[in-house]
Amino acid sequence: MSNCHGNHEHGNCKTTGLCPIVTFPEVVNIDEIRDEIPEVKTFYLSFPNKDVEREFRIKSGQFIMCTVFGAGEFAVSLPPSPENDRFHISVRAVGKVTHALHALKPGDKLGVRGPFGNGFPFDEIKGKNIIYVAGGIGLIPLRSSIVHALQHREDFGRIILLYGARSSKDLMYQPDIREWQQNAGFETFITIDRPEEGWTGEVGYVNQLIEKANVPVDNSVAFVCGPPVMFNSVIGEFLKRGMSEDAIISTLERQMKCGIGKCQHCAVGRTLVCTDGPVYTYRQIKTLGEQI
Amino acid sequence: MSMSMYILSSGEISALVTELQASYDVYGPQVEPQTKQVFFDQLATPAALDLEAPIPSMPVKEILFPQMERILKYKYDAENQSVAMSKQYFERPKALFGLRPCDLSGILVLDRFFLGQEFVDDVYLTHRRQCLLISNTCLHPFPQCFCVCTHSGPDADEGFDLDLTKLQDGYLLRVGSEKGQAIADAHQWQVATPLHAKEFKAVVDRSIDLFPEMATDNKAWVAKVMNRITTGFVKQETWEYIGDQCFECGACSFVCPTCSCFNIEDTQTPCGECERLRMRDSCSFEGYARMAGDHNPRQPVEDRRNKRFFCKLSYPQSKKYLRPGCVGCGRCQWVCPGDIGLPNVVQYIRREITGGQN
Amino acid sequence: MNLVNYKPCVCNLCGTGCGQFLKTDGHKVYGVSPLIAHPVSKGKLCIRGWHSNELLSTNERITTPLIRENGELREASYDEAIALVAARMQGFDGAAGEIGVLASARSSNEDSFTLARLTRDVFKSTLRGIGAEAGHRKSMAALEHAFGYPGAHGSLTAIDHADYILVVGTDITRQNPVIGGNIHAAQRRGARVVTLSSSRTQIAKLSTKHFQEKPGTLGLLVNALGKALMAIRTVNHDRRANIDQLPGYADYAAALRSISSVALERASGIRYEEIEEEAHHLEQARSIVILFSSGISGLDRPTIDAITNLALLSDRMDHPHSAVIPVAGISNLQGSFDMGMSGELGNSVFKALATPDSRIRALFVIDHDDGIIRDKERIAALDFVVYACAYKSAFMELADVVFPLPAYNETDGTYTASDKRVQITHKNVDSRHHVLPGWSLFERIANTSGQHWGYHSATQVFKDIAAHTRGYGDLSHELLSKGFGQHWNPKGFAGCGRRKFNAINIEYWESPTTPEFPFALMIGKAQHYWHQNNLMRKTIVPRREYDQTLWLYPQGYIEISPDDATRLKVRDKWLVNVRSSIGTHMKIAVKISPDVQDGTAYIPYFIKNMISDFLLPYENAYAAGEESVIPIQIQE
Repeated sequence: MSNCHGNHEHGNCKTTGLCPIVTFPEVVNIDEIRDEIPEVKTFYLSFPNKDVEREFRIKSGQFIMCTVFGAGEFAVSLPPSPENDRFHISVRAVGKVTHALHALKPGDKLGVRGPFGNGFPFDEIKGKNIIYVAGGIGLIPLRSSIVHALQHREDFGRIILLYGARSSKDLMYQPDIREWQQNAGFETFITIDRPEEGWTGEVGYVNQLIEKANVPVDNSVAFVCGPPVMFNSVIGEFLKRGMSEDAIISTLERQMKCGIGKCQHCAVGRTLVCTDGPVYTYRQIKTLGEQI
Repeated sequence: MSMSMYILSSGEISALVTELQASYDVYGPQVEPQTKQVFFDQLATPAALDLEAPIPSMPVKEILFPQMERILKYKYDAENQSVAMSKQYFERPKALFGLRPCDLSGILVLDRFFLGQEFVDDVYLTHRRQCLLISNTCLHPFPQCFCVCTHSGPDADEGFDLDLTKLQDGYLLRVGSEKGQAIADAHQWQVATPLHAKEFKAVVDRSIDLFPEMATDNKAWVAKVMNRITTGFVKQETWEYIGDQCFECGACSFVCPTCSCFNIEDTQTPCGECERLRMRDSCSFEGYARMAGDHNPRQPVEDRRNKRFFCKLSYPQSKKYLRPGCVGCGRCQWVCPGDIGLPNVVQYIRREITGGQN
Repeated sequence: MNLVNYKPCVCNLCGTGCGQFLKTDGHKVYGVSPLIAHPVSKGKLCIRGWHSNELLSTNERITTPLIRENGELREASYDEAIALVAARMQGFDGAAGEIGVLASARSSNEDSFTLARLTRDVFKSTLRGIGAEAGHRKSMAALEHAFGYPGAHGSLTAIDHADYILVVGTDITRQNPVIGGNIHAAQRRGARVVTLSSSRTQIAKLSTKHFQEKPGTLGLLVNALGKALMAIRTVNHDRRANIDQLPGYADYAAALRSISSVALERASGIRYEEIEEEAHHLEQARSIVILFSSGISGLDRPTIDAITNLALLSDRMDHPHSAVIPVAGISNLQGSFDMGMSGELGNSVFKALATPDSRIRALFVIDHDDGIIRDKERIAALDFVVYACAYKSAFMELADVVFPLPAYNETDGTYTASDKRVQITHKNVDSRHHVLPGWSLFERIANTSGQHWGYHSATQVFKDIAAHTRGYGDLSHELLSKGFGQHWNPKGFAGCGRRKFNAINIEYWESPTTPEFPFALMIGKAQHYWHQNNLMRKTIVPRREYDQTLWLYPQGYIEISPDDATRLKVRDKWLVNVRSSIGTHMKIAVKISPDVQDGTAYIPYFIKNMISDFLLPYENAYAAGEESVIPIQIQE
């Protein structure tokens, strides 16, 4: 890619021979905007420069730096599968920049740098059961891996999604979930915090679903994403069941500015989330020496 | 490459500056007339260069990694939904003439960090490319210097294109790179003799002898303190003692030749354009490590201090830099409104190790 | 030979007056460096000073004169805007109280002096005022009574040599960090540093001794120290004729003798024995520096009186390393006073705005960019409002005519720091839009109104300042350009050298708290917060630091002690209901802090903006400054 400044040792370079967009943002078009849940919208994007589009390859679990022109840049995880999926991001309006993003219309332009970060392991987990555990918008960073795993359904054992949100209105990607459920052997357990009229599914917290789903511990990996309270209770439950700390995988969120391991804003203990992460095993997270 | 050495007169040094000014922006140490403060700034004339001035008050990193710079400019046309972007950092050949060895070491650390890791930082690379580095041996230490403890002085041993040392007969010029040799080859400079080489060694030894006892005495302790910091065995009380004295001004990071943290911010100009600014930042600030949402993993000030000293004095960090992160310039000690410049922190941890016995 | 990129100047971001270099190419400011040779700051700067380049390169500037037309501000030429102001102002009767002038404590002396002249000679008005002046006026009155001139006694550099340093109340490492650093350095070299403060501030932690008194008893504590010092002298038969014979001594001594150690302990929580021990240290010190905060968050008059009296009683005030310094938060608060911009007692512009039937119809305002504009409705209803400032602010919305001003590095000007040190900053950057300096703007308004002052430069204005301002007679731009400024000379005041004790009353302050409203709420200290934050909000890193607090506590916070939190069964960041004794209430997050004593609660200054409804009925109590206390109850 034209503005490559990688040392060509980066994962992307090795696997695809391509480098991410490092310094100078590449313009993308907003093709479509969908309301997901309150405060969260999904933006479908495409590169006007088709050469760039062809060479823009991602891995599940990676993130991009997205410029909202006039407001600033923010880091956002990539929900699309690396294969045969529309390029999109799902963003909650929390600060100045993301609010500015929510005010945009289809046809508006954004700037994109990346993709950055290590990404979820894919080849290493072939043949295993995968348990996805998400709380609220924690499903966004997991979506890519779920779709990718389902695209290669035959490579894995059981694939289970345990998903919880505050209410039925706060459940992300509902049409996607219905579509995934069409796949043979994709098990979904969905819960909301409090009972609701018309809700016939589970009520309670996500960690309670682990029992319900009778999750396998041997030969399994768990991908866990969600708010700290949920994260800690879910991890506790898995460890209690004897799951190895190496088999529990999550992504960390930190304030990221450069994406390439230079500005140091995302330093956690001795690692940088933007280059060493954002994907870590629980064993790694434990040794970082900071609160999650 | 065997190192060529020459002897230059002051006149030849001046002539070299003039000559370099034809193809480079030449920077060098000079004394501000009103305040007598030393800055490593662009030379208006060769006469402004003062090779005997004490170490500059601000590190030379300011030239390669400025406090604030514009890196990008763009204008968004909301009506036509289009954007025009342009890069705002440009390459200019720079000659850094008369670098103190600590500042040279600082540049080498920044090189390894910005250019030698997984990614190359394009902004730094642009400033750094086409730089000519000319170092200058310190004939004696300046107040609060302790480069002898951090292997970064009083003479330079790597990374320079040319290196100067003031001897009896004039300046000994050592060549450290092919680029430096090409410059030497274009001149009829007098080749140095083995006697000059011997004098050079004597000058460096004398300079080392002139370091205050505290600095030389600390030498062994720097390694021990690094060990402690790496293994995390420094007591919480010591960090709290240090944290209580932190005024959270950021000065230590701003004057450190190796601190490289920065912040990025887009700001609007009155004419509807937007500039992407990159500015230096400091891990001593509470908001520095803030994450999206209402969560800050690193809140108490002593935690943040701990982070900085880990960066300067620990083995994992030294592996990235191929040397300790501290280059012994002592500037953090000058500018700290508390009393927690790096040499003092070494002292505090040392006191902890010895149980207060010195 | 001057450097290509570094220009020395004086930091304008608080009343310390630190030396700094700006890195500039003459058009923009790219960076900051401390100035090592500066006698006060000695190569140190605080977070504000280190980021002044961000403020000085902000795009949020007023760049051209503006005139309101059909409700909107439109660009205008200087000629048009000045002609409009001159014409409209002539339609008001300044002598009858129709024109008010609100000056800025950030303006240079040159600007303040010419503004005072414009007010007096052109507008014929006596309705003046300086933002944040109320607190400083008290300091000036107390100091003038005690030392014979309205200004600090001694120099900030005395901190570096004094034996004994007393910090009364102020959270100085936050408000004037470089002074705080100098005090910390003094403590390390062996000076005895004593802090009186109801909360455990950073300077309290760094002090040799911290007296953590109950709120509202600072003055009592200072007087108790006086009593103990006097008692030591009595025991030692150490009669100080030069002190005993000063006017007011007998009354002061009688008042001190009346202090009861039992009542003292009950009111302040401090045992008299501790004070006695402290007085021995004070007695032994050869040089003593006393620092207190002055201005918007300053002390009340009785406390300042107690401080000046203790200073005189110590009998050490003639030592070159002794000082009594009202530390200002704003760069030229002292200078604006010296230039005569403070209002006359009982006749200030603030009072005119606050009094519904006052005759004020027009207002001329400099830099008044507070987050909360007091008497906003009244100002909005005035016939004519002129506003001049370097930076955009909410006040523009109230103005009929707006003028831009240069930033502090875009024009020559002198500034008088807390210790009367007058320093000059030379223009080192071209003002981006050919903006007139304040003095030049005021002169042109005067000119258009038919008065010809004939000023062509700030240097020339300063000559007039020297000729007409007491204490400034020896000074000139030429002199100030050498070295690092000079203190104005108190001998310019006839009373200089005539010392007098202030009259004091011993009052055992009864906490207004009750079993129903058991917490004493105070408003004070805040980090990265300065000038109600309007300037800091135009920076990047300091703004982020300010926002950081609000990220953690988006609804603001109230600080309470860990024990109180346990009793209330609340945890950090929990929302609590706070109800005041007069019935206002709010919901706010709890911040648990070991630095706060039991039974007290703090709200940092800037959060005042967010809870103004709660505080509004307390506006008067609030004016009492650092020592004002509101009784509240806190419920989960």
